[in-house]
This record gives sequence, C-alpha cells and structure tokens, in this order.
Amino acid sequence: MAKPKRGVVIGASALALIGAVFFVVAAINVGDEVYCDAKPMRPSDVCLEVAEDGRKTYNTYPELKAEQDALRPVLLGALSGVGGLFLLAAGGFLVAGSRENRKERAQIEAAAAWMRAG
Amino acid sequence: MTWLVESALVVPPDVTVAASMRNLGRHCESYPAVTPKPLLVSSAMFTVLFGLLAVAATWGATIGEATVWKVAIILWTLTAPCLVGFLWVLLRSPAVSRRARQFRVHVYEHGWVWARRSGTEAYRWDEVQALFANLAVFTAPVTSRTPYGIRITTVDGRRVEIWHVHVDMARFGAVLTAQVTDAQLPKAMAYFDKGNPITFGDLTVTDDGVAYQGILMPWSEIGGTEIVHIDQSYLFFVDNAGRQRGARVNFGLMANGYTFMRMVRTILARRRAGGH
Repeated sequence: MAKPKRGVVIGASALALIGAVFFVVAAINVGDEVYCDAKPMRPSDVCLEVAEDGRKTYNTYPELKAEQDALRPVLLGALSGVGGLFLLAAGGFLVAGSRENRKERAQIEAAAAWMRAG
Repeated sequence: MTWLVESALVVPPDVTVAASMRNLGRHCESYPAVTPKPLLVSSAMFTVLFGLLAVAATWGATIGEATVWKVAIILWTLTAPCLVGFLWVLLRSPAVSRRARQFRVHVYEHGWVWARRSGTEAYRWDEVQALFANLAVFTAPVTSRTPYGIRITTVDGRRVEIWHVHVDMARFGAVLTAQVTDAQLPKAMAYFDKGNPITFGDLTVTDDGVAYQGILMPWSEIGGTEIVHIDQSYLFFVDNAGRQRGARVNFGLMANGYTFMRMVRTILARRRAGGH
C-alpha cells in the first residue's frame, strides 16, 4: 500500500486522537461509583433532591445505584460508539489517502514516458 | 517603462547562484511570501472558541461544581494545541518574522527559485514531470479561476507543493501553470505524433479520440474542454455546440491537466485545418 501524504496522516491522527479522547472519557466513567449532585456517595448517605417548586425527594444509595447502573451502559455505548466512529473515519481517511497517492504515482510514471521521449 | 515593485528588489546571492546552476536565464519578477491568513484565522477561531468554553468551565468549577474540572481540563487540553498552532503560524509569518519577509518566489525566464525556510531551490519549467493543480475561484483581476495549490514532481524526482498560504497564487499560479504547459506541450505532441497514446489520469489521448475508462469519445464529437467549479473543479468535454458531453474528471487529481487541455485544443485545431 502506498504511503499517504503527510497532510492525510496528520488529519487521520487528529481524528484518531479525538476518538481516543472519547474512549478515555468512557473509561473514566466505567467505575461503579454512585453520585449525588455529581459528588460521590457512600452506602450510608442519603441524597436530597429539591425540585424547582420546592418539593423534596430523598434517595437512598441503593436506589440511586440501581438508577445510575441502568444508565451507565447507555453512556458507555454512546461514548465508545462515537469514539469508534472517529477511529473508523481515521482508518478510512488513511486508506483513501493511500489509494489516491498510488493513483498519483501511476500518473507521474505515465508522464515520464512522454517527458523523456519528447 | 513600468516595473513591479518586487522586481526592483535586489535578488539575494544564494538565489542568483541557484538560478545560474540551473541556467534559468534572466530574472523576471519576484513574489513575496504571504501571511497565511486562512491558517491564522482558523487557529484563532478554535483558540477563542475552546478558550472561552474552558474559562467558563473553570469558573464553574471554582464556584462549587467540583466535577466540572474534568470538562475544564478537556477544554484546556483542546485550547492549548490551537493556541500553540496560532502562535507557531503567526511567529513564522512575514507579518511578524523579519526572516520570513526575506522569503520569495523568484521567477526567471526558464524557471523559478523558491527561497524559503527549508532552503533555496531552483526548478526549470521543462523539468516539471507532473503538475497537479487545485483550483479556486478568486476575485483577483488576473483571472476568475486560478490554482491556489500546486503539487509538482520534477524529472529528477523532487517534489514540491506551493499553496496560497506561501505566496500570492492568483499571480504566481497563473505564471507557473502557463510556463509549464508551454514547456510540456511540444514534448507531449512529439510523443503523440509518433503514434503513441498519452494518458492523463483517467483520460487517454489517442489518434481516434479521447478514451475515458475504456470508452472512446471520437475527435469528431469533441468541440473542446472546459473546467466547471462545482464542489471541486471538474474537467468536462464540450461538443461543437458547446454542450457538456461525457464524464467529468476531477481536475485536482489529474496530472498535467493544463497540458491535456492545450493538447486537445492543438489536435482539434489541426483537424479543423486539415478539413476534418
């Protein structure tokens, strides 16, 4: 496979880097910690939620754990999916760049025939 | 007599030496390096965008939302390379760097010399083996459609890319393509006149017509060629009534596209002169 141009490699690397960032964010969020207002909870804690109309709701650790455990795979799937798409695009970009470069080399060689003979 | 201001500048000794080593003839004019505005604007735009978001996230984190730090760190991580890129381009541009203001493309009778950061190199028009031109629509008075990026491979295997971020391509691009076409056409025609077909990308010029991916369009059906700018620039064939015919070819991916167009025009003129 012909080596793609530097610009293509830089573009593909940037896409791969963005994809990697999504995977890192997914990995950070893979833990089983339970959060109350974005703060980690201990099993003995109770989370108080105050609605805009002043209504209060108390959630226990097991309740929130069940709720957040159900959402975790969705979040992980979404982040990994987007990350995967970026990696896929980077790969596609590289393959297309190599193909284009190969075609370009063939044209340069074809031109050599009449440039030298002429 | 009217002179371009740039032509009146003294040509540096290294440029003169490089030019004489390749027998480039007399000096015609010089084009100064340009400040790469598109790169500066785009990097500045991303720096401001991510920077503002990063400042907002940092402010949010300091007033109590501790977990927003994660977002702030990611945004600062994105801001930093954009800022570094902006400063890198700015500090190396002629607007700021005295050294960059010395960089120029010097056009000679038989070629050009490019004095730039990586060194001074000379090229002859007749040494260009393959020229790929990316076209853009300019509002410059020179022409409405001139190359903004040119990639060249010379007969000795050197490769060079010159873009609108290096030099005023509305002026130099037109000169470069015209001179290279002038140098290539006699060679292409001589080879063709010996009965050889010539391939330009997906197109092959033969005695019977132009073949595109195995399908031949006879000379009798070809009235000429034209470049149409859609999402990119495409080369079309037109018939004698000026209607577009056959497939379109991406001009930017076609080696020596200008020579091909001139060659078609020359063959058609010959055929008309010969009563075809």
